[in-house]
Amino acid sequence: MNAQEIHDLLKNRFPNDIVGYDDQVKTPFIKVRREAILPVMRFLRDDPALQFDFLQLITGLDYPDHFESVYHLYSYPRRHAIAIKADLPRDLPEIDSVEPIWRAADWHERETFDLMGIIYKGHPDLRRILCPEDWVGHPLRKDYRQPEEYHGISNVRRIGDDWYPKPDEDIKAIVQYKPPKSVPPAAS
Amino acid sequence: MAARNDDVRHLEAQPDFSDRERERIRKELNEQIRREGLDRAIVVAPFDAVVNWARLSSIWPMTFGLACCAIEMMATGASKFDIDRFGAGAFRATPRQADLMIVAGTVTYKMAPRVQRLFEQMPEPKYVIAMGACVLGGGPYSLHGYHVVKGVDKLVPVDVYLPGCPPRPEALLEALMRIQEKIRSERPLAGRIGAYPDALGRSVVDPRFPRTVQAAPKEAAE
Repeated sequence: MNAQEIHDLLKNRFPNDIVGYDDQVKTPFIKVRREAILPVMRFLRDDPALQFDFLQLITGLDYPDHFESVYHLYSYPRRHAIAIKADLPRDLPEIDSVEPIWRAADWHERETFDLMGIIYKGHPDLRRILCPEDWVGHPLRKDYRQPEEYHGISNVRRIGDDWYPKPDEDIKAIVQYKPPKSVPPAAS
Repeated sequence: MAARNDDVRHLEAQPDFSDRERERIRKELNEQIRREGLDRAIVVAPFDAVVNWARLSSIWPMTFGLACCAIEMMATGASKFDIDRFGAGAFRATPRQADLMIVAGTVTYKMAPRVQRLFEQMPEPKYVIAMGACVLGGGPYSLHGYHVVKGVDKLVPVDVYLPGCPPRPEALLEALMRIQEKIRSERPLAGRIGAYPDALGRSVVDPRFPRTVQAAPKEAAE
């Protein structure tokens, strides 16, 4: 089954919850309303024509006006793959956990929570997995500001004068994000 | 120094020999050489040099690797590069028995307290080689990495900085030889002989070497 057929099947089953689709990118993806992520994912795994039995990864994306939670799925019996995305508002990036559907989601969701700050509701043990427990902030967010020090260890390297910029200057050096024109704006 | 003889009894420090005693020992040594032949020759050397020679020939590193530099460190320990040629092949599994900490690999902020603790657990005298770009100053993570310590010298005192990404095993051997040079130039017993009399009032050598070697006072040197 190719991506178009998977999308059509989903669109038939969940006409109100499938809000976007793009197959002009390297990995075709389907956008899902975030409130409907659990029934859609359960259908993707249990439908005999789809049988997505393998959750390859979960990751997060940070856009100026919203976050995205991304799921890459693969089916060993059917040999097809698809990516599922869900938009989350910046002020409350919450989405239901898919850990009850795929156990693999456990650590993936913990990682995305740790680095991007997306909260997976219903996750059995949502705590940091990579950063130390007392870490402040979510480092892969675009608005993350590195603290000056961690446990008294300075973040600034000084040899003679400052030949490494300070963390604040690092932030200024990051180029402001502009969405490319070729990609259609996110459906809402 | 080429001391092939393992009998170092005569090298012990005896600061208060009389001339008569000195002459007696000299005759005794000459007699011994005549009796046993030149292959058992006696070497006379400063005690500091002998102690340093023993220390630099048996540097025990700690089994301790953090990232890809540790692979090069393992190669250095294996047969092709063979760090045991320098007496430093006994990688100890505990910091309590180690003299040398080779910080091989990226030090993250999560790992930093552990590295510090391991260094503090090592007995004096102890040495540190900072191996690789990440350990020297953060390396590729120095500018935008949020998780890497910008140089392990923010945590522990570093003796030798070894650049490279990762450094070749030959470079690690060079760093080890720099540590050996450092040990050779130290004076672990300076000002210590005679400072601690034993129960009978004789001069003994204090085995506790100071980490920072200070110049001997003039009275002791003379």
